[in-house]
Formats: sequence, C-alpha cells, structure tokens
Amino acid sequence: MSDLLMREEAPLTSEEWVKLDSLVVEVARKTLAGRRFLHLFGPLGAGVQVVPVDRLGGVTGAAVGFEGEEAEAVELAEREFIPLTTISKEFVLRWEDLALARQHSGEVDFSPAAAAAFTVARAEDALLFNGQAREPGLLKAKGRTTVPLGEWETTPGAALEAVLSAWSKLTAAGFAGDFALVLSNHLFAKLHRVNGGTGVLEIAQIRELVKTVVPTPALKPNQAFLVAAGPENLDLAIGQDIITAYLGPDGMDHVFRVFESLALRVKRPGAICTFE
Amino acid sequence: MTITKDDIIAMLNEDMRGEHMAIVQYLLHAYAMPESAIPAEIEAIARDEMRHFDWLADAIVELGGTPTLERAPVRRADTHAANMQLDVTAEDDAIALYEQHIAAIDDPKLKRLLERIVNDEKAHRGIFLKLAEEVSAEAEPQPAEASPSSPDPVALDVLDKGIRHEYTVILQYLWHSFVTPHCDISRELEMQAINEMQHLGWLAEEMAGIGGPVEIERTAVNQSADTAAMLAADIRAEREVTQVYSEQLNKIADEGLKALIARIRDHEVYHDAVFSDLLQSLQKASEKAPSPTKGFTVGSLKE
Repeated sequence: MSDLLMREEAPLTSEEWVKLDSLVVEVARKTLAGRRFLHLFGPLGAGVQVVPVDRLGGVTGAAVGFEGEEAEAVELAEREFIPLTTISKEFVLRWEDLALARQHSGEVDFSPAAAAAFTVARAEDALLFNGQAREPGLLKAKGRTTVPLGEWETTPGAALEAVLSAWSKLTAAGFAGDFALVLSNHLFAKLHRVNGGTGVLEIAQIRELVKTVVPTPALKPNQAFLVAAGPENLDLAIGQDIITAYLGPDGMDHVFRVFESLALRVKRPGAICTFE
Repeated sequence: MTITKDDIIAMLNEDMRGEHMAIVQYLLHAYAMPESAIPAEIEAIARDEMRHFDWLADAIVELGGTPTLERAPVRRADTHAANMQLDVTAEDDAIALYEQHIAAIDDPKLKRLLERIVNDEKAHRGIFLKLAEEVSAEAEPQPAEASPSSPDPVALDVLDKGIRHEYTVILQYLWHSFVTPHCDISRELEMQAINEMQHLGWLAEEMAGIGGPVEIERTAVNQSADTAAMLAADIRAEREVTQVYSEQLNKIADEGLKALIARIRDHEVYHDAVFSDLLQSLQKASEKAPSPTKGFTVGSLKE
C-alpha cells in the first residue's frame, strides 16, 4: 500500500510521530467503553468497506454418542453485509507551535491530537450504544431482551435485583459466561451504597455475578444493559483501528485527521438485556 | 473541437521529441567543428533547448502525463554550412509546430510557456542563419585534414562506449528528476545530469579531435516510477561505468585521454556517493513516518 496516511509529507520527525501515536492511543484507551467488553474482529484493512454478519438462530443441543450421531448444525438465520462506518475528527497543528518547538528543540504540543482522539473515541461508543440511521446500536437492537429498571435509583438492593433478573433471563435463554454490565455513570454511582442490612455495597454483590462492570458517560443517566458478550453473540469488526493521517498544509498550518472504520456485529440480539 | 488533457500531453511530448532532436543535432554539429566561437555559440543554443526539454517535461508531469524519451530524427550534412542550414530548418519546423500548439491549447499558463519557447526558437533561427553565412565564408576543413593518421581503435572504443553511457545516464537522470515527487532528489538528479552532459561534451570533442565518428545513441534507460528504485538503478549505472572506465584506463596509451577518463571516472565515483546518500535519506524518511495501517493500534480493552 502506498503511504495512505501521507505521513512522509508531514512536518514531523519519526520520534514526533511515535509520540503523537502514543498520545492518541492513550486517550482513546482511557475514553473507550465498548471495547472493554466487546470481542474485536479484524483489523480487516483500511480499504474494507463491508463486513458479513451472521444472524444466528437459537441455542441448540450438540450430539452426544459413540457413533457421531447427527445433530442440527448451528442455524444461520441470515447473512447480511453491513457497511463499516468511518469515524473521523480533524485537528490542526499551528505553524507557530511547530516553529517554537523547532527553535527551542522543544516538544510539539499535541493537545489538538488528544482532543481529536477523545472525540473519535466518544463517537465510537455513541455508535455502539445508540447506533445510527441504518444500524441500531446495542440499546436498540431488534430482538433484544428487556427487564424493568425498577427502583434502581432510589431503593438499595433494587439494582442487584434488576441485574439478577436480567442474568436469570439471559441464562435461562441459554446465554452463558462473559457477562458485562454496561451502565451510565449515574447508575454506577448508585451502586455504591450498602444493600440493606447486609453491610455490603451493591457493586460488590453485583461483581460476584458479573465480572465486567463498565460505567460510561456515553449512556444517558437511566440507561444500562447486561450482555453475554462472547463473540458468538456479538463483536466489533474493525477495518482500520484508530490512527492519524496527515491531510496537508492549510496556509502555513498543518491539518491532520484521527480516524477509524468499524461495524458492530450483533449476531444474537437476545444476548443483550436492556433495563427499561 | 475540445482539446482533452491527453491531447495536450501528446502535443507537449511531440514538442519534447523535437527539443531532444535539436539538442543532439546541434551538439553533433558543434562537435564536428574545430574549436572556435562558433561551436561555443551552437552549444549555448543546445543548452537553451535542454531548458525547453526540462520545462516541457515538467508541464507534462504536472498534467499527469509521462515525458517521452523518444527523439525526432537527427540530420547531418557533409559541410558545416549545410549543417547550419539543417539547423535553420529545424528551428523553422519547431516554430511552426509550437505555433500550431499555441493556437490549439487554451490553458493560459501552457500558452505562455510555449510562447516563451517559440521566442527562443525564433532567436535561434536568426543565429543559425548568421552562422550559416559565417561558416560559408570560411574554407571547409577536409576530413583528411582533421585526422592525418587513422585513429587508435582502443581510443575509439573507449570514447564510443563513454559517449553512449553518458548520453544514456543523462536521459535516465533527467527522466528520474522529472518524475520523482521528491524536490530535493529531483534537483540533485538534474545537477548530476548536467555533470554528465559535460562528460558527453568532453568525450565527443575528443572523438571528433581524433577523427572518430561521433554517434549519440543510448542504451536502455531505467524508467521506474518509484524513487528508491530509480536511485538504486542510478547507483548501479554509476558503479558499472566506474568499473568499465577503471578497466579501460589500463588499456589506453594516450596520456591525455587517460587523464580525461580518470577525471570522468572520479566524477562517477562521486555521483555514486551522492545517489547512495539520497537513497539512504529516502529510506530514513520512510522510517521517519511510521505508517501503522496494519494491526491494531488501540485494540481490545478487555481485561
């Protein structure tokens, strides 16, 4: 591939690119929530524009026997090809800042790159949770399981009850292991209260049941869901992982773009249980 | 009729073929003359044509085309006066062709370029007319006068191979300088091409001086589009010719020719070093800009 990112044209040294890349990755890692529980598929390559997603049928039993008895194959309800969405944010390094760094052998201030990386990471989570025009996100997946949110906000113990209810529903439907509770910062805060006379915080009790708890500002205050997050149920297909390209000069300044391409693949929507 | 970009590129390449022919034809005519102000004046015109060749190539690359290395047929006559007449005709043909192209092309920048060139060609025509009169007034030297004894076959072979090599690398370095997107490398390639033109002149004059036939023909020219591959080919060419010149030095009897070949050989060693440095810088520059389009950057955050 020729230099897709046009980095050779940029007024940055090798060391500066390494610093910029590290900063972008560090900010993205601190910000992203979806990747804390989703299995990643890829990277498929920057030029890949569509990815297949198999909508799988229900859970069926395997064949058990000495003779290799016949059993149903995993039912492939349908195969779709969904587009990878590109998320991007441009930033500008001003010539005065570059000149200052060169004159005084100082470091280039990459805060605009950090801000762009933050914006891209937040947009990734917004896409995963809320979806976009053609692709519903995790909160709106058609065929998802639901349980009531209940008195989570006001009553100690209600959150644990709601999570137990969701867990029971998912396990009863055959979904197992790798559960993640994804919730707004507001609801997460509410878990840090003692559950009645147990003397134990609700969050500690929930963690006994669900190892991965992911609070995120990308969800609205009363939004939460429990998900059986194995790749058999859903995953995140990455075309190009978050990266920075040089776009070229704008007058004396220099324009860059932080971007990525991705698609959420929900194969068994029933593995998602939203609290509503 | 609408003129497309491809039409314009074709016209400019036709102009390049003419300029290429003019450079070689004028140099051959100049080398055939004894040293005086007249061949120096003709060589100055040939340098003008080299500039035109360069400008046309740049314009073609800017339009997204590929500059040609073909050349229109070179013509030579038996006398200097007849050669000057052929050069007047070459200028007449060039002026007519440029005027056709100026009329056909709408782009004001290209029109200006061609008008600038055609003004030069008109001036050249006047100079060649004047030179034709001057050389007609002088007695034409007979071939026998120019070379009283038969030339040394070793010298003929050395000079013929040298001329062929120098002409080939001039075209190769110029073509690379036209096509590479790296301005600093382009400039350096052009500088070395100019140095090779000097070598070509020295060798051709030496060949004419010993009464040998001066033929300016080329071998294969590397036309890679990748700058690293171009430089690698240029380094190869320099190393090969350095070896050839070094081997020839042991066979040459004439001390003057020996000194000339040694001087050119040392220049080629320098060119090799220049191209090697450029290639190294280019490779460092590509290291300078890591391009992680493969593999995860952020990756999974699952614990």
